[in-house]
Amino acid sequence: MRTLFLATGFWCALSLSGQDLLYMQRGNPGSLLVNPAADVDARVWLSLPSINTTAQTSFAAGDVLGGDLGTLWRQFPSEAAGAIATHDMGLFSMGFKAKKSTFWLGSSLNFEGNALIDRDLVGFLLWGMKDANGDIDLNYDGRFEQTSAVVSARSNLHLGWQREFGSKLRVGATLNATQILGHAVMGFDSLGLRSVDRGNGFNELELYTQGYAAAYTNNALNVNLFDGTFLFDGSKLAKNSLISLDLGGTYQLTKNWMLAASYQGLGFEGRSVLDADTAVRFEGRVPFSGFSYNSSTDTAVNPGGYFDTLLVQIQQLGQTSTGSFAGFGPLQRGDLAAYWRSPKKTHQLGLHYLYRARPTLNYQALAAEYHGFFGRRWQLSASYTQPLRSSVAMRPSVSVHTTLRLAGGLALSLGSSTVNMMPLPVKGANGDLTLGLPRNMDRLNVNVGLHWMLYEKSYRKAAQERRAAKKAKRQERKKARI
Amino acid sequence: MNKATVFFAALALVACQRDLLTVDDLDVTLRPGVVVPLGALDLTLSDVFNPDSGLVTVDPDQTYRLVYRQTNLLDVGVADFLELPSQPTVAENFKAGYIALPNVNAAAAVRFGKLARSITNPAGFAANMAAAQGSSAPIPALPTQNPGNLATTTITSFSTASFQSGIMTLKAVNHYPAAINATVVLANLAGQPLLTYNLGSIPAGDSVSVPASLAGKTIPNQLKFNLTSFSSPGAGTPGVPSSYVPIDTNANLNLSLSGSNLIIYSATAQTQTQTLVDDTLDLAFSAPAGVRLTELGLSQGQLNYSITSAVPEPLSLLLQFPSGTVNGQLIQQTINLLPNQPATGSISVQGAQLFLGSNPAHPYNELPIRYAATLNSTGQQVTLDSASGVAMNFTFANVEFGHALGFFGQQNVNIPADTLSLDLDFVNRLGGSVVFAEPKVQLAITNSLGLPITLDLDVASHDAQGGVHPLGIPPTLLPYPQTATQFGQTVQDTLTFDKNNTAIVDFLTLPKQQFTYGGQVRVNADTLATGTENFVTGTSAISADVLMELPFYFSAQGLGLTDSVDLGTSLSALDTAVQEVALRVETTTTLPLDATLALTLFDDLGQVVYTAQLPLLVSGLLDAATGLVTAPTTSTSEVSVTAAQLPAFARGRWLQLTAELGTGTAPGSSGHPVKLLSDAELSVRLGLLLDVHLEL
Repeated sequence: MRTLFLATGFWCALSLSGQDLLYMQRGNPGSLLVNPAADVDARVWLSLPSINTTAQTSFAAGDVLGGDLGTLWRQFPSEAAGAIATHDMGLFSMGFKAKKSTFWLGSSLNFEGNALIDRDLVGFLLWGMKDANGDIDLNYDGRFEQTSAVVSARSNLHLGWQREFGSKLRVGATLNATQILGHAVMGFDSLGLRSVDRGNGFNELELYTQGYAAAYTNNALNVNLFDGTFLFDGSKLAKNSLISLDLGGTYQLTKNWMLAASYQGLGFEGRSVLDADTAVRFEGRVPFSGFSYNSSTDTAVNPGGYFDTLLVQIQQLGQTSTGSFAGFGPLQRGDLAAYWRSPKKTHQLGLHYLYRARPTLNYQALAAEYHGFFGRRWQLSASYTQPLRSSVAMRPSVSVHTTLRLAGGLALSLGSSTVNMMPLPVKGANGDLTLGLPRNMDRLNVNVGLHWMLYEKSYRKAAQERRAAKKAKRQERKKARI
Repeated sequence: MNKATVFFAALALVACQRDLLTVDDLDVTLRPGVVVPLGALDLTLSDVFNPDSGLVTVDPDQTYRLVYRQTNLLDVGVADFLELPSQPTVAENFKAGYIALPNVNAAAAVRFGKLARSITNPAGFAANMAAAQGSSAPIPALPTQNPGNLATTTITSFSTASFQSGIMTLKAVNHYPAAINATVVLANLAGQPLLTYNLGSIPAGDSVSVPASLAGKTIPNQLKFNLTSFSSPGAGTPGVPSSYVPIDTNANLNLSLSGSNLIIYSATAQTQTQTLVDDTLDLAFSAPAGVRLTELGLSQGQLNYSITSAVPEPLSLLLQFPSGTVNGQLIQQTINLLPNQPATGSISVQGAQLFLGSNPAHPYNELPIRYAATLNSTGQQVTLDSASGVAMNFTFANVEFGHALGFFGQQNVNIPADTLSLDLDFVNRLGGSVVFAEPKVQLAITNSLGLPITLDLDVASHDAQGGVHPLGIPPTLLPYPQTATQFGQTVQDTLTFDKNNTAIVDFLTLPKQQFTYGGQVRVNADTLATGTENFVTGTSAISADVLMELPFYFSAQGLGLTDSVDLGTSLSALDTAVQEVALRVETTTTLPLDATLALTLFDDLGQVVYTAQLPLLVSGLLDAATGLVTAPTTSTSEVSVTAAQLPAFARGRWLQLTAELGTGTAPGSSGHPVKLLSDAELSVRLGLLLDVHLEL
């Protein structure tokens, strides 16, 4: 059971991103985790554990399904094929407003991982050394350096503060103390298989690589996956904290227009160095020339010995080294948004630029957002996000997020950034019910959270005023009909 | 916008993308195609055929040469040609023969008075003489009358003797006063006359000697003198005193016997030292049939003898080899023999040089032995008999010769015919032919046997069609020390059999099913040409080392080797997983060889489902004049199984491999032999093309 727990936790650790739509969802205190300057309609709140999990592939279902994979692979959109999983879990968060300032603190866990195989490497499995015409190319040059893997887990303690300056400007900052629980990477500057035509249908093959692999585990953790033991020493955890700062600001440009900007993860990037527990350097070239026998120097033809030597050569490509994660940085988000708010402040439309950088995934996107503030009981946000640039291919996605107020100040936050990619049950060829995958599905995301909060009084007053105004207005219309 | 509106809008948003795929739409087919270098071999022929193996050598021009050397293929010692048989015992007897006795003497005297008493006419003569004793008186004439036995005598040196020859002389000295005439008859005691002496007239005071032959006479040692035919003219005239003669009745007629040159048949007598026999025995020396030995040098040996003498006196027997010397000295030995006592012993002939041809009538295999017996007198009377003799037995023993001369006869030693089968499955399947251009067989002879040996071999190879290919070696006289000047020397020479004097090229052209061999070794086969003078020493021997040289200067065509392999069902998997598989071979060589590998694949029903030809090797560029490769040749070949062939190929069960090998041919020539050089190189590159088609 403990093993299952750890395994599940490991899978869940493969992700994050706070739901982007929280950026302008006023009725959710989680917005402060996205933008320290978010205008949150809450006096005091307490967030219970929330999760935001994304499982993503570097390709869409339509890239690999519905046709011959080998043929589809010729048009594979990404440099690498693989999976990315991010899992961000808010452990707790609490905050309150005091006059013009808002304070909050909280803790979260971020897990993520990816495993990418270079597109050419998969292509090599599918086609070998064949060119586009299906002919074996003796000058084949397969470059597999996009193959990589990252596993990272970190915890975060943060303390935020926001200040209103007048009625238009809000500025917020969050101080983060991040603990790297574990981090492992594997990557290549070069990795490939090269064939050189030696004429008469013969070639020489060469495997070459220059890469690295390193792993770091926080001294506070002692995990043994094999016997399921897990030891935690909190005193050591704090010693390795990395400090970063999130900054944000919102400005009410006009009555209906608001600008928002924020940047998370200012701090230790490029300055922090983690010494790896284990580091391996991949470097060298291994020629595949087949066995060699020279009667003047060798005593016997020994093809088996060649393969033994080859195996040793391949093994020697990886050499233990003393490595470090130079340039290790915090998770980074950059947001720039402009929103138009309806006169009644119920609807907001916005254009949102997103920049995301984390160990497993980088991308920039532009989202057209809608935020509906339907009273304190229901908020609904939706967006269409067009990726601009990404480390792996990403398709446009439709996001929906809603916050439903439950009884007693509790609110449920639920959403997904992959609404347009949701699998649906369909009948298969044999008539059995099976899972239908949208052709454009390249990821699945779910975001769920639970929090308790008290709204601001101003809102209640405003609402009462609005209801009184509505009531007066109805009475006036009734009088007019009479 | 109310809540429902928003909800349905969202639902519509979700529902607008209905192009759904399932995992059943995953169509993964792996079609990797790769070409992989399998390996490379760089062979230098000298590394493969190591000259240090002793079987293969490399000439200075790098030509390979298969050398088979068999030392002491023939190693025959002198004993196989000449072995002296055991010599038989030779018996030789000789008799003592007529024995010489020493001279004898005996004497007697007849007193005058005694004679007078035997005179009967005139009567009273005795009285008258007795009366006249001391005085002078006339003696009347006495008429012839026989006075008889008046004296006896005894011979002391023998008791009796039967003479073969000899003279017994009687000397009579007349001391009587008157002349007498008388005949003396010498008789034994029984009165039997033995010898008669006619003395004639013997004047007074005079003497006469009369010899008598003893031949055939047996003379006892006691003898009587009988006077017969006695007469006297008388002396003095009666009455004339002056004519009277002194009368002395004691005056004697002295009679003395002297025997000389006494040779007896038999006797009981004293002997004298004398040579009884001096003769020569031609001892036959046994030799193998047809062998005529004229001279032997013995490294060891002895002549054993056993001699018994029946002669009653001791003998000294000299044994002598008149034609045998040791260090230049005659071989001889004196043996003392006692009567009737066998004498045994031996005479060493170690180091002796014996000449066995001294007898002109039988100038070989005879060894003369001289024996000379001397009787040594003891001075005692012994009973002698000329028939008594000496028995001798001679035996040569432990004879080993140091050298032998002569004619050792004509011998034929058959080499039994036999067959060396080459009917090997491998050879039969090889097919084609291999022709060696310059094979050579050499016999290195080392010979110290001084006799002509002719080697007459009958060797042939047989092909599968029954054709016989004789090697054609003519009868060959092996080198040997031919003249006396080479006596004891060792001759070394080499006989060479090659294409110039034999049909060895045809003989060794492969393949052959069997070799047959046989023949003869002949000794003194042609005496007209080689004479009859043979010699050997005790250590002479002939040995032959065979050296077969087979330069790798050859031509070969159509050598094939076929084998099959049961592949089971191992190929069946190819039908589903492999689109094409090919083995690429590139060879670059300076070898003068062509090689092709043919692959034929059969299914379970014996149907051919796949065939391929793989030219493994293409000969380097050849120079027809020298058979040498002048430039390397590169060839590339590929055995490929295509997608269309794979279904049938995958049914393959039996793979038949047929390799065909031949020598290359120079431009403009065909079948010219080529030379295999040790620095010839072969580089082989192997590559594998694999095109997989695997549906997952």
